[in-house]
Amino acid sequence: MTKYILRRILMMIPVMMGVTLVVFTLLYITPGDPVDALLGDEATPEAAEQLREELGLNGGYFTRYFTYVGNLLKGDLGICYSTKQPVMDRIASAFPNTMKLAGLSLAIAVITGMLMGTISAIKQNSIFDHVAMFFAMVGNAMPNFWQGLLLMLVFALNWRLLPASGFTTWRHMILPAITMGTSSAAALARMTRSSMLEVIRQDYIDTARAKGQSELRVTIDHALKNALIPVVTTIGMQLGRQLGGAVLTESIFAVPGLGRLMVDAIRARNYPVVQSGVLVIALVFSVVNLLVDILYAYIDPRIGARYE
Amino acid sequence: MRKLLSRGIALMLVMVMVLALAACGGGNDTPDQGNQPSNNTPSPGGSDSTEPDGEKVSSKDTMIVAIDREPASMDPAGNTVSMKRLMENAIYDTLLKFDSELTPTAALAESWEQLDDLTWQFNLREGVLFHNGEEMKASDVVYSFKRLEDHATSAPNVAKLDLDALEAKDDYTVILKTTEPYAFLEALLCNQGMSIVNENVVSAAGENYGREPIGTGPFKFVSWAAGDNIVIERNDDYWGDVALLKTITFRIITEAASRTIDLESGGVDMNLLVSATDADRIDSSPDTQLFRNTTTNIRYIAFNTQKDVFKDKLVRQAFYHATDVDIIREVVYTSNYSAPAISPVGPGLPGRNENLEPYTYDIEKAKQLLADAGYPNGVEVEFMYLANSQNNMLAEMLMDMWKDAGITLVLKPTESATLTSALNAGEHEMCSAGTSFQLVDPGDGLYRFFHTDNMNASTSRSKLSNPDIDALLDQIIVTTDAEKRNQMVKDVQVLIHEEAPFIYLAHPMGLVGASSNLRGFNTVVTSMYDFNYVYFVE
Amino acid sequence: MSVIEVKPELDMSDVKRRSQLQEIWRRFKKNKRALVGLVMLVILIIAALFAPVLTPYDPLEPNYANRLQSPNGSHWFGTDELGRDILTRVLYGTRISLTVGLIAVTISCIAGCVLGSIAGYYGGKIDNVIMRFIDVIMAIPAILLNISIVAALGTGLENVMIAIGISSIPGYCRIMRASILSLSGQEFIEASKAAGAKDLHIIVTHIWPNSLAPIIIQATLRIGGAILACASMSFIGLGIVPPTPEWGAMLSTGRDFLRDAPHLTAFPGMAIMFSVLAMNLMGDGLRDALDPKLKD
Repeated sequence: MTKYILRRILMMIPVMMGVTLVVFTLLYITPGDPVDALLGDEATPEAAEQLREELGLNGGYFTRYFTYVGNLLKGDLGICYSTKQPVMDRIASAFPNTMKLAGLSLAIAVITGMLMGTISAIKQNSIFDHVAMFFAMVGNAMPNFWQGLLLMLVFALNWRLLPASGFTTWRHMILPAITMGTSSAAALARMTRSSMLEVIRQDYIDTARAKGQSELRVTIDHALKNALIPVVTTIGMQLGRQLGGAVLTESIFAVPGLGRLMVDAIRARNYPVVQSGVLVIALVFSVVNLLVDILYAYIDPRIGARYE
Repeated sequence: MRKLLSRGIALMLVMVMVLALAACGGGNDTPDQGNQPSNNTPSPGGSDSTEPDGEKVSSKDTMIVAIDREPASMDPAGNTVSMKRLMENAIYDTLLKFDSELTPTAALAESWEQLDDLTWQFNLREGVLFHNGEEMKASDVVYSFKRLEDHATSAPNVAKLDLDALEAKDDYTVILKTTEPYAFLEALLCNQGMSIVNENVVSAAGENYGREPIGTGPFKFVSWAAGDNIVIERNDDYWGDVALLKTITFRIITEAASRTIDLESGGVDMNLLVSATDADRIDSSPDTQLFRNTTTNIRYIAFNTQKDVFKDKLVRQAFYHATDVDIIREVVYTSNYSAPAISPVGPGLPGRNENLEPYTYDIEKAKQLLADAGYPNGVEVEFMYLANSQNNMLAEMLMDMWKDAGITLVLKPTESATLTSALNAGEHEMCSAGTSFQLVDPGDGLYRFFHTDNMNASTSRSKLSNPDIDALLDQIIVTTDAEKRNQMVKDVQVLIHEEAPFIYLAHPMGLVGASSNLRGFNTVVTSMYDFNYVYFVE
Repeated sequence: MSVIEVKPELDMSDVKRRSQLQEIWRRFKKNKRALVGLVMLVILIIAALFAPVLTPYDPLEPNYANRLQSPNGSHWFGTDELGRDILTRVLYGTRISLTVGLIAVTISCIAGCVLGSIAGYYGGKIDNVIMRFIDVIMAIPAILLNISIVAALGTGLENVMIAIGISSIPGYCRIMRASILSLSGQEFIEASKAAGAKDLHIIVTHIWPNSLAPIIIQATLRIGGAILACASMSFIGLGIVPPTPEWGAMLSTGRDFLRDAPHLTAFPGMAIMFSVLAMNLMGDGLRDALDPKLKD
């Protein structure tokens, strides 16, 4: 098992290098000079050249890439072009906010999704099943930015229950988390339902029932556990979706998180922030995937055996 | 069958719910078209507990203000972003300050005089303290100005100053020289880019100065949560009118719809960037009030006169005649919250020429001019602009209007940074922009737009190069007599108008929304609002 | 993004194949939700094909006297900020959304299947390199990747489709690879190899038809995702060039009028939901119909 984990961690390194290369290349070929964005109304060709020198933008493709990677390995993530603050600080202050939001929305998605999916599976083809699945699909189909604005209108403006934007108290987290969570809740509900249905029919369920265990016990002990594998896969994939969905949600709800930072940085051609920010996100994603795979091993020892 | 029915009902329920949700958001108020502009004139320094009209002053002394983007730093030598300048206005002071008539008056400089054509003397106020307790001296002024030359973003501002000759004659006297007679010196000194910083603090902080600014202004910096908010609080030792509020928090909310909803739901007390589409509702709602002010901002279409298709002024005039500016202003900028633009110089500014002959909306004339210029079969032009909904509306309208005159408009909505670089490199055939006069005075503004020397700077989108216009603009800069200057400004507008490098679209107003219990807020043409006199009532 | 592994069935004779299709269709028909999805899809296709016939208004022509009208008798969905009929624009918008969905999915499907086939069939180092490349694409959140690609290539429909296509490649690649890995050991593959058949021939004639099911399901489900992604890009301002009536762009412009004229956002928003829902229902239905294990 440990060998497997080590091997996976080792494989993350070339992937992370790949990420930096892809992002750097994309930024390199993107038209639009950070210098022009920074100078705004004061741009004169002389001023532009001066700033370009200061920021080190005059090297070629390889020079700049290797300088970046060299600094990265030394732990230096660079200096933000606009604020002259270390990129590390910017990311360190934005990252926890996105993680809190993603965590809460994933929790909402998992709880509501699995609950709806399980009940739907047990009461297959009932009214509850149909309505629940329908709402789940509608939630999946709604563009999250629209949903966010509507939630804000209803809960913040019309009913004055929750704050409209910002991220200072726990109450600020509710609307953005719901916005991000609903689409994943839908996917989880459907996945839970279908894998529960598949499992419920298996023979060993009938055996358990024949042995006289209560319906609830049967459900939890056997059906749920075996249904978990595809569900855990889905959760892992949904985290990627959360991190992506965070981008628009954070802009709408004025959450000072990594998603919004990335979009603003791409807009402003703030190269160091984009490169390091995407790297951090990619790292988190890879680590979570690894954890999901390890979780498999605990749920189903047969899979764990395959890892040796 | 039953299942289909239940599913159908569920579907209808969802649709109804969604519609209802969306509809309840829409106000039931009918916007009041003929509303009085609600400009509150303050009673400054009101320390009575009851106001003349019977309102009781509230004990609330904190205010939350919503802004649309975060400044990079609060170093006056940094770039010009209006929110940044606004906060610098609260934290720093300048030597001179615009009064309500847009005349420079005393601020940190108690008095000043012009010694000769090139030399000025400023006598500083004594006993002015920086927020860290140190006294402001002439040496700080000299340091503040000299360092501007070293920054790419501020160097153009001080191009006309002879910084080597700048000196502190004694602790409270500054001698300033210009390289040639400069009519806009006093206006320049009112600009937040010329704020006075503390020499010790800035030289110690070096490159990193700006995240913890120290100034002499009515508010001092408290904290900065990156990406989220900036907090300032009252400077009780301020040399001028001490503010009434204790704390102001600036919250960064990029999404316009969120800012408005936050204002209306009470999450913020003031929204500094209300969009024209929300203005009516903010004005008529009992929970909020609207402040509006004319600005020096002008929205325009610029023709790149260096590109073949727009080299001939007949073509540019033809395009102008093909444009129905009134309907554009009504649809895109709203008639209530903008002023018609007949010249780059905005309403209320000195030297505005009210008598320019407008280019009427005349499709036949447009076609005729195009034919005269050698395009009897029409012409195709590419329009590069910043992709946002307002510009999209403008682009779609132009495309539709101009096809009647045989003009095919190819739309190229471009992302922000790509656009700025392309425009700076002069790649555009025509573009859309909005610019304000930094120094308020039209002589300076027109110079930045149209002088050949400035052709490659970002303010000159039309890259116009006309020797007659240049000559007149050069003269304006060195004419210190205001009346003579205004006349010359009027004259040069006629020349510029003839060249038609721009289509003037509108002068949008500055729109600020606030909760209805807020008093003491003054609007100004420069949009550099002061918060000293703001307070709340019950 | 849903990825499922379905063991493809072996099938050699035409007769068996025909009746298998009938069997699939029978199972699909029994699933009421899937039928609803099919009906919704047909509605969308009709709207796209017959838009000019279904409405008398021009989707692009402004009408300044009629701006921002609420839904009424002559304009069932109201009019927008330039006075154009919203129902008309929504109908014409169907063409764009379906086109974007189809083309983006086609790009990612072809690229993903080719990559997955190579990775799965040849294994070893090539497999490793390709899968790491896929890992890289998967590790970057799709929307950020889309924004970066469109910023690099420029705004416009084609570039948005390319961007969405690229970011969806991983799904298909993994499905195809898994499919090949499970098929490779099978006897008929060995037999073909022994008979001297070329690799390409084996991949195309034996492996791809048997991997069709999960790929089709993935593609159907992903069309909805592509439509949503396109709308998100337009919302940010990086998408379609006006005056094209794309739903996401309509949502983006309508957001300025959210409070006083909510119909500008409501109808395009519901159109998006309708399309995504249709594709998801179809995709689920196909999955249930194609997976023999699930008996109703």
